[in-house]
Amino acid sequence: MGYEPLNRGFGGTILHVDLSAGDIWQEPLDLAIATDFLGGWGINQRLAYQHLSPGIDPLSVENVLILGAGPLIGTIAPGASKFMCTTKFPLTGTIATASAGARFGHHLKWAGYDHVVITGRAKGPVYLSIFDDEVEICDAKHLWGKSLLETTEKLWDEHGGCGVVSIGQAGENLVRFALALVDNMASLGRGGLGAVMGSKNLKAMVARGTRGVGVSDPKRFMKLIDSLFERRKKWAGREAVATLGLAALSEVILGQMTFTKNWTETYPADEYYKRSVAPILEGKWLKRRPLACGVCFSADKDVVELTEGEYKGLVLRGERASAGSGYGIRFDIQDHGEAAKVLHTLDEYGLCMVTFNSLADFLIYICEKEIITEEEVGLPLRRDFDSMMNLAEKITFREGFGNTLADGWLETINKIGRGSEKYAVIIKGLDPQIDGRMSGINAFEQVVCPRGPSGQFLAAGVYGVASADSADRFRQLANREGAPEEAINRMLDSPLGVNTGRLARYDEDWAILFNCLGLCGRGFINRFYTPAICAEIYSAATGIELSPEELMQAAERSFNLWKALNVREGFSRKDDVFPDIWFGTITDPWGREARAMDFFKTRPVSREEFEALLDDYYDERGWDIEKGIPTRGKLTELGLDDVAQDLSRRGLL
Amino acid sequence: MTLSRALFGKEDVTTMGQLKKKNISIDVERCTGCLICQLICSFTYTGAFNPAKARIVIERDQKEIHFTDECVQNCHLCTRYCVYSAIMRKDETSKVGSIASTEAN
Repeated sequence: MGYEPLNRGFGGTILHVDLSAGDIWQEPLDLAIATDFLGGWGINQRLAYQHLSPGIDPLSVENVLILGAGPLIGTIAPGASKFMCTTKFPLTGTIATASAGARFGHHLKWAGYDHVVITGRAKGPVYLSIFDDEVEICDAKHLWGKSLLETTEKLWDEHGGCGVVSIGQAGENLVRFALALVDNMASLGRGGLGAVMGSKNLKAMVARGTRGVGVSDPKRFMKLIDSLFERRKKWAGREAVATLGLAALSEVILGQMTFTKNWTETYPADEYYKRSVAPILEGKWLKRRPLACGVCFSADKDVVELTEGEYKGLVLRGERASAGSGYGIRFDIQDHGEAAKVLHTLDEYGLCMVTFNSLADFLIYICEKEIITEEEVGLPLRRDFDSMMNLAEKITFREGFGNTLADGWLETINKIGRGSEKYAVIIKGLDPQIDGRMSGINAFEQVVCPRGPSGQFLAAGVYGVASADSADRFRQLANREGAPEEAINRMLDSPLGVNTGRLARYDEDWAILFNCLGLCGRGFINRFYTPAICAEIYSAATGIELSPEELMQAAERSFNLWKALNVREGFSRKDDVFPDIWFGTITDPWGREARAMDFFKTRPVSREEFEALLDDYYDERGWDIEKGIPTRGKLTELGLDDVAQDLSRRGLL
Repeated sequence: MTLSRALFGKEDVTTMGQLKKKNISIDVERCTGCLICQLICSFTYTGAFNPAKARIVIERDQKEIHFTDECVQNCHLCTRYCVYSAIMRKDETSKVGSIASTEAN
């Protein structure tokens, strides 16, 4: 049967898979919807509103997995690699969208699909295989019970080159912070995507496409592409990323993300440098090779192989070269090999490293404070290799107290009681990745992010706008994010230097735009794009002419739809809660006392000033300030009348 | 399932091409698996971005890079887009991590 690519970036097809009935069918993608929601993430929210019923249990048969790969994915647009996976997340109960690169999304597009909607639950272990128009629900009995890494390797052995999304035993056992890995290198679904797959008996998904992706105006498209490649040649940071990967951001990571001892201390800077950057430069104990997601020209991931010690030969993929060392510092694991082995084990089990680390840290801390004892939880709780390995295993297989821990923060705090909740640093049931004391008011967005504190939205705050050291520079960077002049004026007209409550709206919309197009939001890619470039590339690829303003409005529309999904689940201002610990002090990696500061770090901010940013954020979004949710007027303005009616009917507006 | 599909994931690979090109040097250790070379090749010669139709082949885990029989002998388009210096025109030099100049083209 002849296949004609659409030649519009889009594949033109939504694939539907009902795991309960074993039915598979295709639905044409109505491109009229792209004008409003752009593609990828944006259309995913629309599909979620249609297919996900409110109030369901995320681990029940009623949950839905919606994959989406934006129109630029599959083309040569640099950084066009992040596909999306929307679902209701078990750890938080929020509806959110995970994203990952590697090569799975590309294969979906090369096979001709923009979205895959997966419903129901298979009767036994299965994996989904998508090879062009051959889509099958395959028996996975031979894979169930195997580690995540082994599952992917076996699927590659069987099928040859293809994109693979796998879960490990943690996902199979419905651990609420189990995730999936794509191509054994990219994490997908903090907050329990792995458990959602497990609850559907979906062990893996594989995809290969040989049909290709075309664009509407090849000449115009390649002119824009060539300009991006030219600018990349002149990029001062390219050698640092090539050599160090994510460790090139050590200063930033150190200054914002290296809290330990349950948020009471930070990593000493020299220790971090010694363990994280030096080994790469000196070629000691590890060999590092850069690894790219598909179509990335700023590869920041790596393949690391240990070259000495007990675990010589161990291979880790992802952002491992620096992660292992930080891990070692946090849990006092002196041996590099042992630190790497724990990380590798988390990958095998398919456990979210971030939540596992934070939860383990919390447990050890409250044990040190004698709120719990090792005896009563039946677990060694020391900062050492054996404790970490044991915890990972007990959680993955839900043994003893591991069964409670596997259900996440809220279950654990409830079970322990004794005021332990005041030591748990979480927002909407999920652990944040940055610290308000060190990031100051730039940490604000973590509080309001509808999914809970998200890594995706760190990109702008951590790498981009937050780096501005003057009002002029801020104006320039905020402009590049699509913030209009009068909004920038509003943001700068603040005793805080910059009102980051108002800024958060533009950070979010900018990140969403990337998710819609399929572009990676990380600084190494983000820095090359502007709303104008995005609009041009989008238009050249799809033939849909949108101005930069229309693009940003589509991002805003998509974001409001996402918020509405969570309003339907009962989330509102009451859930946008600051961690108390952010209002205290901490010794930073350079030995200085840190507390939440204003934007240009001229003075500390009070709790009242920090919390007042909530009103400003809701105002900048045009939402109801008291409830912290979109108004009927805002939804109507954005053309989301049906959503407004739905929320009204439910008594939520 | 044919052997070619099992090994390379392609139903009708025209050749088990192990071709090396006289004008392109390969440093497989530098290949990151980004597949940008495959995209510019397939787009230029077939009008769509499609690694399955590229004339340059990247093996699993970037262990090997070679060219198919269909690769046009004097073409070095892929080297112009490789930013990792994994494939380079033989008359170019490169520093670690930087892109080889393509001005001469």
